[in-house]
Amino acid sequence: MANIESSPEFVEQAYKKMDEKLKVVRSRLNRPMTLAEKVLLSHLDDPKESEIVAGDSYILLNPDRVAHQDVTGQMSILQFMQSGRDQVAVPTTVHCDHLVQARVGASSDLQDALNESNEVYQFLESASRKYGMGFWKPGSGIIHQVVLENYAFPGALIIGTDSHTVNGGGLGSLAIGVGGADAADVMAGLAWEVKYPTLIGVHLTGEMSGWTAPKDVIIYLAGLLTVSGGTNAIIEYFGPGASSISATGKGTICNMGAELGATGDMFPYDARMATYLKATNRGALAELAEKYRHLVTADPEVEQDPSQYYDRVVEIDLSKLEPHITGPHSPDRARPISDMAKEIKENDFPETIAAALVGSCTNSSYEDMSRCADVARQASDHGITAKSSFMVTPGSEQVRATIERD
Amino acid sequence: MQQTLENIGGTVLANACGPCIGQWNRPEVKRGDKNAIVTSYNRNFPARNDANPDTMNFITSPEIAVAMGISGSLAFNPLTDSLVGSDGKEFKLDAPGAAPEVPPTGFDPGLSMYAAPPDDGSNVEVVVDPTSNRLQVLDPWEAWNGEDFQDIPVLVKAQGKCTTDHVSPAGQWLRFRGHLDNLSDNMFLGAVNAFTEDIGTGQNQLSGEQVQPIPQIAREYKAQGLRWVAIGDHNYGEGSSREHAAMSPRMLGAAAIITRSFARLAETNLKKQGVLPFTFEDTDDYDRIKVDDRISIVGLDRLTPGQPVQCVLKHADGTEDTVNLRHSLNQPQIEWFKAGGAMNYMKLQEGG
Repeated sequence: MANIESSPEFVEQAYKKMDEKLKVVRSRLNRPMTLAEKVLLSHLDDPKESEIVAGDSYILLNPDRVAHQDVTGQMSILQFMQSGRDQVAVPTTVHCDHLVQARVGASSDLQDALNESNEVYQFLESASRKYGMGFWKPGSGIIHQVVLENYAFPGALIIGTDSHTVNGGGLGSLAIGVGGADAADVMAGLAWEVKYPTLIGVHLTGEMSGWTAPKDVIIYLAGLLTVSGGTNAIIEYFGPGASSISATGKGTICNMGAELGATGDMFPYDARMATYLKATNRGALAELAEKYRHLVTADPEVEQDPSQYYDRVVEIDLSKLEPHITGPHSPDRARPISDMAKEIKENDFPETIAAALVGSCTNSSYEDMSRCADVARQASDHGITAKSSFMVTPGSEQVRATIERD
Repeated sequence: MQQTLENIGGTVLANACGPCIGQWNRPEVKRGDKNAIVTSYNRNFPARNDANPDTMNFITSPEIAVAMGISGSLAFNPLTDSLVGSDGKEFKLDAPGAAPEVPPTGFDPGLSMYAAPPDDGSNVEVVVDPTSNRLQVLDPWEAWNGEDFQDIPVLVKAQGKCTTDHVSPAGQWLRFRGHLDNLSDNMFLGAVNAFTEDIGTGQNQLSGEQVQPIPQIAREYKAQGLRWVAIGDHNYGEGSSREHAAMSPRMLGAAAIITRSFARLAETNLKKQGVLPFTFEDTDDYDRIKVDDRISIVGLDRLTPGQPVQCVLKHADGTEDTVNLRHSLNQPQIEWFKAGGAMNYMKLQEGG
């Protein structure tokens, strides 16, 4: 029978395997390791013999799971079907999120999608049933949010056929966007090849307050590193500021690692992740992460002397971070919000906002929606409504139902 | 909360990607209308959200996006600027308070929209309508017949940048992402053909037609049972990881792609599809390839990791050149080639 869930049994098995492989790698490296190194190298197909030179070697890894969205997933599954296997080799899920066009509002738009893309949904659902994949129907939510709520766990290596798969780094997973052919291979039982990335360490200190939010961390970083600054690198966040950010806030930061071209990005396991795991009925996984803490956090020597372990170290003091805004047309065109008015004049940007859109796979957490509602309530209390058209995309059915209730 | 957001004019969209990936029907804004939007999304390349390259997407935090949306002004900074209430009085928004990271009373799972597969799926039929133009079950590629490729034509010689988007353009072709045959009508439509300096067209060596879309030429070669090669410049296949850029050439008959150099992922994807990726040992040999050359790739039965392969160019004037080609195939990947592709090889291993 196909295993799909990140059940405690599955996760403990994964940790045991990682532990064994990590011992082999440690005996080869013989030095303290960062978190990203641990998670990558403890998933090596051949920890004894693999050449492991960061930024140079191509390494073969065994991912813990695969996630598909409904556009790129089509060809990937069609390819997998050529492999002759009865069932997928690793836990795999399919998420119908890309084919719903925003027109009027949730229920009518969803019905239109069911009519227009029925054959795609039927194919994905029947293939999921045949090959043992979990199928998330249209309206269930956006792949990255659903993965965060259900499948990501600290230390997991996840591949997904979408560039924002990296969102899973918020729960301490190394979650990486890949092409459909790579996903098909892994579903068929082959190892997955990737260039052993270099490491960018982001040292977080202080704590955010006021209007500043996790999004500002990644917008600031995008401005600093640019859209190619993360190429062939993993961005690893560390330092005392990391645990001041909620798991979903960490997800927001990791999500846009894709905009920097990063192979992946991740946070170390901490109490905030435990809080989220417990709230999503996965308290047992938090206990396991505690038990295997050495697999899901960096060695303590790393934080003491980060420049020895990361190819580049960036310092961000969260208590001094201003709200940022980035654009247009490139995610690295960032500036503090206080510079925006000046730039509108200099660049002849339109001053009127036609639409404000919040939510999506990133930034639709309970925390985000609570803060949005706080701002909205203040406007209502003063008798005004939004001058711009205003749309909200819940990241999942669970988020939608919860914000409707609360 | 939802009610609070709706009270200021908010519309709740489906739990799906929506405008963040361009699924936004926005009839009030025409292509070319310059306009600004603020979002808490992640990507803001031109035309990303509504297909209008003149829509400017400014990304910020959701709380700032809501505050700016309330003001209607891109210049509004809620930290310093005031709004005007319905009573005509100015007021400032307070920074939103620290919010609970998870709901104090737990999440509401909402409607169940998950379907677990049955324990045994062997009796399930995968539903694909044979007449569909969006989906097509893939037939296994033919295994290698054990013979060298002899006197095959050059379909295209790509000049300069040839990314996966040049080989397999997206845009209007996206709807065929699950139907390889239909999609393949886009093959090389973005490539600059060094022979003609035109984009997406070439000369048909069988019919003599001078200007024909490259995928049509490939289809005519294929119909005659003729394989072909494509020539690429430096860093062929960089860009997105879309495997269609390797699958379409395979479907339409590519035997080999010979380049000055490859982007690694594109090279690997070709190997997986059973198409041979070669690089010129001497990158200047790129210039020796002529539009009406016939090419032979010889000694394939001795294909060995690390060993170059000989390629004979027969020019139309009767002269010949022999050039050396390098490859990066390891032994398992050579088995992929022989089986006709990685998935075929998997199937052999499975005993199927």
